[in-house]
Amino acid sequence: MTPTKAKTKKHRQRLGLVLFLVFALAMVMGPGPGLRLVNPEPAAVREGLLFLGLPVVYAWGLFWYGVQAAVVVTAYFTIWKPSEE
Amino acid sequence: MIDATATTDLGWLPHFCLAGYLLFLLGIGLWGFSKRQAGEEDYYLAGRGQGWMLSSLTIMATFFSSAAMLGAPGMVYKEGVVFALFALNVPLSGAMIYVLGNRIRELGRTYGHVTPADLICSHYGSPVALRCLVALIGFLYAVPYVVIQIQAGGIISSQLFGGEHAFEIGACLLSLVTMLYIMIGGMRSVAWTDALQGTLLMAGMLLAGAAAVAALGGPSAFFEKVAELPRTSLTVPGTTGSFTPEKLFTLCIFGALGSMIQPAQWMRFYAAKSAKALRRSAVIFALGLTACFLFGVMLVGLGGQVLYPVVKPVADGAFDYQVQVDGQAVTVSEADLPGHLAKGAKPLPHLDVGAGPRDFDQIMVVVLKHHLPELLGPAGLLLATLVIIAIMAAAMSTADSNLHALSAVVTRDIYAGILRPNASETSRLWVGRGVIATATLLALSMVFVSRSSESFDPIGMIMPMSLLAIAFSSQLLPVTFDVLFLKRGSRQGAIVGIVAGMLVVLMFSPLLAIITGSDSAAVSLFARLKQIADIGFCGVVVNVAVFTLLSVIGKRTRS
Repeated sequence: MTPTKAKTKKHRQRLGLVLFLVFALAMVMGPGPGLRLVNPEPAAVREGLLFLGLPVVYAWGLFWYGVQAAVVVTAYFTIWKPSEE
Repeated sequence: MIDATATTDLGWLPHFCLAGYLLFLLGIGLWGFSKRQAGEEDYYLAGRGQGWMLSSLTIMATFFSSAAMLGAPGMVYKEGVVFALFALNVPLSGAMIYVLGNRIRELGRTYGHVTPADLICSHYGSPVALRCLVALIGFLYAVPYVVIQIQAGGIISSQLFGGEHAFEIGACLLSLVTMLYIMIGGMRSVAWTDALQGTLLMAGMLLAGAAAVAALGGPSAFFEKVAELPRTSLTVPGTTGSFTPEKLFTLCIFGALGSMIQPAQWMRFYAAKSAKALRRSAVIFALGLTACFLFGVMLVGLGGQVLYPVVKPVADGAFDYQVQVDGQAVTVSEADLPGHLAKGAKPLPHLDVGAGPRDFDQIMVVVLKHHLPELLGPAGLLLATLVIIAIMAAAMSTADSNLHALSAVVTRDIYAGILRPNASETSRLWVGRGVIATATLLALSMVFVSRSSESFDPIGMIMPMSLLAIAFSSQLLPVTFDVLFLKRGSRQGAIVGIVAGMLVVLMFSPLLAIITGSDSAAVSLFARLKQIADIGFCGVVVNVAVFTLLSVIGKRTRS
């Protein structure tokens, strides 16, 4: 393996690990225990159940969907590149 | 609030559209037959030549079943916004299409594998025991999934046409047409019908969401009315308290992984033409399908809570719920609800949606049927019909893929792999067709038995049944990761691990209550466990522990 190829491989591995960690974070925070950070308390006022007019739990889900989508698109253009074929 | 009782008769349009759609599917079956080439690989994998467009649509159509179109909005209608977050399992499934699927495709192409057992057993060198187990998992996944799709066909038919036998006629029609086109055309027909059905169901999901939002007066009015729902509908863990973040997390992980390594998807990975086909499928799946979920069907469930309230407001902002206790509908206060649910009471939907606890699943059809024609007139009638046909498409696309995969599993892994290794290819193909017919009739009879018996109901609501099926297929996860990435496990570890995992999942099924009685300590223990984590997760934990332990012991003994 040439030094350039080895460097590219290492770079891809590192990027793959970062993307994996971000995706894992999105899974833990979105539908996982991270939900407790935003879940309104039983005694919260009605406005506390909303964020920008949306139910806060739903808005939280939409945000982490954005993160997941960004990771998949980045992986598509970087670590799942055609050179693997 | 819109008058929920103002039902709209859809007239004869659905009859014509549905008949045209079913005939078109049979036409695709015949086309697939005309394009056939000799051999099992062509019948089961369409010659391993599916491009990215066909691969992505058939993978999506197989993934999205009636559980997505009826079950998911039904769960949001029952539990509230918490279940909408279940959609976040879809991007993980999408990523797995490339991460797992491409490795499976490469190995399948190199060694000529057709079923999951071909790959797993060739790695561990277990021609009988492991092959039987993997085939059994395929069976335990496919049969319940086919059963719930047939049930969905019945639900749609009874909502569309009404009448005493509408459910039975719809269930029979769905099963027989599906059975016919798979038997005639094999994978080629299944994939092309899936492509049509996948397109239909994506459009249908978004349209259904738009219909629910429009029925409440547009996005702002929609969320204003949603904001007035009971607290439990807007927070975690939902109305019945079932969806704690921990449970939702394990459900998303194992729901995604389990449904991506079930036999029908596995065979779609083998059938893909190239890595590019799977890479593009992964992105389309992760982005497009999740959006259809979050902005489509989930909004139907939420809007359904406003249009067809499951609660009655009482003084001081509190609410009363309707629950079923010993077959009787009882009104209970918000404060007393958890206590009643713990004693086995089941929440009931609005009477216009259905009279039984499992009728939450009907919310999608009810919203479409009652409100789209009301909003848009004749155009709404046509759109409602199209979305209802999309629901039928979702059910048929999953049923066909699972029946086709089951046929491959039984024929290759059991009949040709163990019983008659020297069977000719022609006889194997005919056995495969026989399996499709038998499994369809078995599933159909299970739907009818469950419907006619009050005491024996193995099916229940669509979503819990799908999750049980996924829990079984999740038991292939440890060996799949080992075969594709780690390559450190032993044959004994794989066999005993799968058996242990499956036994744990079985403990959560209705079987335990049938054997030990519904009041036994074991049933209450597993019911409590089920509240904490996903069934598949519990099975996989035991499976991984046993697999690792036996593999390590085996390695030490050998060295």
